[in-house]
Amino acid sequence: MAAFRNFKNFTRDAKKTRPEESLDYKNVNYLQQLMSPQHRILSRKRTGFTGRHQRQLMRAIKQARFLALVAYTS
Amino acid sequence: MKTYEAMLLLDNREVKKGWAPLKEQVDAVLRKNGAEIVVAKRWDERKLAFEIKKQRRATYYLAYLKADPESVSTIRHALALTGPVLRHLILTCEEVPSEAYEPEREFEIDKPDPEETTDTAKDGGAKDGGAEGGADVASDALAADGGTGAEATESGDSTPAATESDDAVATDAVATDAEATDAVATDAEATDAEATDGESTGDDATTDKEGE
Repeated sequence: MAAFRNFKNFTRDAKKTRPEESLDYKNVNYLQQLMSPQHRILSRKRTGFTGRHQRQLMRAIKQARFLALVAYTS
Repeated sequence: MKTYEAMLLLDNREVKKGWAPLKEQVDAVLRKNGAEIVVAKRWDERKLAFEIKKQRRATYYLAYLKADPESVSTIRHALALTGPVLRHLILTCEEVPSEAYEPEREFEIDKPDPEETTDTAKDGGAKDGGAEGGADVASDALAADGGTGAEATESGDSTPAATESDDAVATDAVATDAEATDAVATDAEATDAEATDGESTGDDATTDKEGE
């Protein structure tokens, strides 16, 4: 059981956090912080966002991608 | 009437021709299709993350509109048919943010990025180097031609001697070639003889077969 707890703590990189800035497609610098170097959207495990904020992040990044503010892939 | 936020991606080639007429053209498209423009300004001019219609840079135009939900589809259709608009995104927004009322920032079109300048410098340097190299080669070739031409003119009187010596050298070369060919021929004959020796049994066998 102890090993299982350690595994859970190891896999979770971030605690539940709120976005520091607005999750808007125009806020390009902040969106890029929430993307991997290969321009993939970070998972909830990495961002620590709630489901609601993670969905807002996903939508903002996809809108920014459409307007060529952020790359799709690299 | 609902409030909408429209972000338009404008072609820089059209922006260079003149910002005011382009803005009028885009605003006219929006107004013609039933939109009331609350605020509209140039948001940014930046390098695109990927090429759109072979354009690497573009100008972003942000407009806050008030329009009926039914007219949004017609606005989208009209924007898609407008030439200078590369892409457009129309979203609903609850209210117009206070930042939208700030005056437009001035910026240069096609301001070179540091990354781009380094890339172009590298490319240009390579190209220049190649061109210089080519020029050097060409100049060397010309110099060589000129040198031979000069020598020819200088030794214009002694050309028969030169040709004679050339002919002599050529005949020597032919002779050596002939010797070499003779040597090769002898080798070939030797190999042929060996081959005939080796094949004699086979020939006999074939003749035997034919005899049968």
